Amino acid sequence: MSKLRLIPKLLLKKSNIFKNYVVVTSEKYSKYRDVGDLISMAKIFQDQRSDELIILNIDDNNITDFNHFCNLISKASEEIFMPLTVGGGINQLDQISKLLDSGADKVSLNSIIYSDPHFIEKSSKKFGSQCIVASIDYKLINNKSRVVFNNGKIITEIDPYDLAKKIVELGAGELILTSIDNDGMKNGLELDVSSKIANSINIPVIISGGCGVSNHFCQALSTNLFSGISAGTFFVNRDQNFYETRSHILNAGLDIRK
Amino acid sequence: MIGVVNYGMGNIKSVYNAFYYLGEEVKICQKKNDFNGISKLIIPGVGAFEEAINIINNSDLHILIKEYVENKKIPTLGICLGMQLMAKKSHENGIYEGLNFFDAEVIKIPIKNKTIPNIGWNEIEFDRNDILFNGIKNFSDFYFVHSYFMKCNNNNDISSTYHYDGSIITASVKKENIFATQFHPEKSQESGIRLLENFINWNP
Repeated sequence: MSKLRLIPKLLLKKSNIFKNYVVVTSEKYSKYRDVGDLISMAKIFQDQRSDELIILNIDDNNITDFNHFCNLISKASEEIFMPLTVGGGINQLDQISKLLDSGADKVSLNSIIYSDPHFIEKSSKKFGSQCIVASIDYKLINNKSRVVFNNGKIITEIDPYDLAKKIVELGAGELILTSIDNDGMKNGLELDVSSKIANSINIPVIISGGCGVSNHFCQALSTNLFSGISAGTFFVNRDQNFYETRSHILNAGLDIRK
Repeated sequence: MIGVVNYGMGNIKSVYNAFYYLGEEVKICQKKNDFNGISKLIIPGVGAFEEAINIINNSDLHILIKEYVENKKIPTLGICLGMQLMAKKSHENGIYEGLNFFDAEVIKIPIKNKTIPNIGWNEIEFDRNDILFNGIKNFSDFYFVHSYFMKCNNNNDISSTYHYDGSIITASVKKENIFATQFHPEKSQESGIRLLENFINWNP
């Protein structure tokens, strides 16, 4: 059986000062803070043997600066020998081609799901479902969980449970669920909505948003519902060493890579 | 000089990156002249069997691959779909003939409780004396992404296996000058890099 996966998530934004991409952390999809250089961080996670890496371009100009992003992905892919998922405003098939040619293994589709959900179907048919990851962000609005697009800017009436089922039908190979409410808060992952969703679909589900201590990973993985956990702030701030985290999770009896 | 066959399907860049990292010169091989001077050959592949074998059959690659692998017998590594192409035939979405380097058929992974494709890290088991796994601990994890696997008619061809949902799945095969892996060594961190290094030093 495949091992449960620990996946660092690196968010890219243009630095206000230097006009090039830097890695940032976020809190509830705002309060972005510069934390470092993409290539250096990629090398660190390669050395720390993370299971996969996710790189997301959350800059406002992510579609116009696409070639610049591809070049960065190309450089990053020269440093890492693990599966790489990339995303950020992808809305055309040839963008997926270029990213795969630049060294990405999978692409993450998020905002395009709002305007053209059938893009999932088109890309899955062309590149294979194993290449296409659907990414759904959600938050609580009036006590109901609702899907949010465009990095928190477009709030919808859509229930993530319904959307999750739809993206499976459309051919997505994996699903990443991120709780905006928990993002960057270090208080733990959101498990109610995400468990209900993971229980009802049969593609791998990775959850993200809120890891603060190793135990948060253990709690989520012990449910046996998720294929992996993705974390941004947790891994990037290195409050806790990756090796220590892995050790802690292994000691909890969870089946991750040693 | 290592040649990587480019038939339009496969993560060429990742394979290239891995060998470049290991200090090896890599050449992309599409046409006849590209193959000149190569001492080892890689056949990568991501995607569906039918499309791949059609592209290969409708180009010179069909003849070139057979010439270098079967006649010149240069050390060859097949990866993922590249491995499956080496079978006698595949049952993926129809029945298609492969390159017939191995007496094997590509069939769907039988599943009971799990789902396919199997995407992720799995522990593989191999013979400790296998030179291609030199320096790698038995039951190390490698990265797999597949729904179909190579079922060998000759067990001697199988060089490593792994377990998925109660079945034993071929993880790699080896015969004479050909070594092929279902997993992606270029995506399997330090274990994969070590395996590629062993391939570089392999003189069958």
